[in-house]
Parts: sequence; structure tokens; C-alpha cells
Amino acid sequence: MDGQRDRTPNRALLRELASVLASESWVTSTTVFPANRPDSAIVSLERQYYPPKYISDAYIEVQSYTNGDFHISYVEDHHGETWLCRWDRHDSEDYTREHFHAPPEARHEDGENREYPPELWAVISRVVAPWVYERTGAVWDEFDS
Amino acid sequence: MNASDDERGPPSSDFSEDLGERLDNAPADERVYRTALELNTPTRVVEVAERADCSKNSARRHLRRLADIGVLRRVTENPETFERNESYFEWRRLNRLSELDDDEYRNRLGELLSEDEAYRDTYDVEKPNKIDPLEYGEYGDAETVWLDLNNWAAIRREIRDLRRSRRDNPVDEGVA
Repeated sequence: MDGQRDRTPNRALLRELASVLASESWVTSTTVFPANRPDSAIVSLERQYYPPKYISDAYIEVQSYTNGDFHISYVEDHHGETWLCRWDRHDSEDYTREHFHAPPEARHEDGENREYPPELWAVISRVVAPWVYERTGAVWDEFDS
Repeated sequence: MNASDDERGPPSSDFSEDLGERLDNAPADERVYRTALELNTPTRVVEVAERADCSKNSARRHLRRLADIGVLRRVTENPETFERNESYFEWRRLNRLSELDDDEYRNRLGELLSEDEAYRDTYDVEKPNKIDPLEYGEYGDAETVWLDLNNWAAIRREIRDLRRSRRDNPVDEGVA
């Protein structure tokens, strides 16, 4: 987590990503640069894929920078309690530049070294989206059986 | 259970495959543009062609067009390499900010200022770099705190950029 404070967000990329994802069946809406997260694209996920009794909301937050760094968080709202994980690319003292912070809290110590495709597009379509698809199946086993 | 709950359930097919196909099947100019947005270092045409999965000629044509309109910079001519033209993106951002009408400007600034104030309350300092990285752990998980402070810094940067965009055309901000 030695990242620099002065990274420049890749806003054009985040806008393009949000506009592509907005028309996906599993996405309800996308927002870029809300005032409380001015460097981020927020991708809200289809609620009908989640058991409402346990999970009230789910979204992906994407941050991407012009030095190639990114943070992609997957967040579920368990009626007030947050369940999350995060795919990261940034310099770190304890992990390789590309790593994953496992759920449920995505703490620093929950990191695992990973390798990702070079483009953010491929990280989203080949790493994150398949993971979310798996998760939307797993939540029904986990909570609704 | 009500009717809408009955409709709930896991997705019927793997949506991630559909997304991958959609990206792969986009027109070549779109694929090159998407690749271009991530050219953080001078990159050769052949590599862009590979990443965007198109012919070298097609990649070269679209890259040159993007350089003509300012999105990219041609760094070397032989072999030809391209990278993002950061000054174009900076111009585009400031242009967007300056095009907000007075209401949009005030609302956005008001929201950002209240986020900034909430952060000052939470961390009890005036700005994020007043906290020593070695102390992040005192506020919670050190990496989560680092990300949170990054977000605070982004809020402050946006406040600064917004105000700068109105320097020649001040409007009453209504907030101290």
C-alpha cells in the first residue's frame, strides 16, 4: 500500500467502461464520479440475483489510474453489514503488484498474490465478471438452503 | 413470500461470457479506442493490434486518427509508437467542469465540501496528508485507511479543480 497520493484517475476509461457495462443484463445502473467517490465508477448489480432476506444490495466499484494501478471492489450490503473483496494492482510491501484481498473484509492481511491480464477490460470480463457470476450462484447455496 | 421474491434467483446463464463476446465483437475502431485509453507508455502498433485483436493496418489507421484528434501522442515515427496524450485528458476534464451550469456547480461543490467536512470530523485533522502512514493502523485496517484517505484526497482535488474552473467566472458558492 505504498501507492502514491498523486495518482491521476483514468476518467476516460472509467466513463467508457461504465457506458459499456450499463447495458449488461446483470447491471441495473452505472454512475461515474459521485461526489462521495469522485475517482470511481460504481456499477450496481441486478438485485434479483440475491436473496433479499440476506443481501439488500450489491455493487462493483472501479478505480483506475493512468499509471496502470487499479482497485476493483465487489461489495454486498447484508442489511447494514458490508461483505467485500477487492482486486488490486498497485505496489505493495507485502504482496506482488497484482493481488486480491479476500472476503468478507478485504483487509490488508487477507491479500493473495495474483496475475491479471494487462487491460482493465480483460480484468473485468475475464476475472471479475466470472467471479460475480459464481457468487450469484453461491449466495443461494449459502443463504437460502 | 411475495410475487417479486418468486422471481428472484441466480442468473439463468453465464453473463460474463456474454460480456467477453460483446467486447471481442465490437467494431475495430472501438476496440482500438478502448486499448488506446490504457496506453500509459509508448506502445508499438503491432502490440496494439494484438491487444485489440485486429490487423496491424487497421490498428495503425485508428491510432493515427486518435493522434490527429489529440487522444494519443505519436512518440516515435520509426517504428511508430503511441501513448496517451495526458494534456488532452486534463483539458477535457477542466472543460467538463467549466461547462457545469451555476446550479450544477453549486450542488457539486456543496456535496464535495460536506464530504470533506465529514472526513475532517472522522480523522480529526485538516487534510489527509496530516496523517503519517505509520499511524494508519491506529484507525483500522491500514490498507483500508489508506484507500479511504485516497478518496478524501480525491474529494479535495475535485474541490480545487472545480474552483479553478470558475476562477474567471466566480459565482456565489453559498458555503464557506
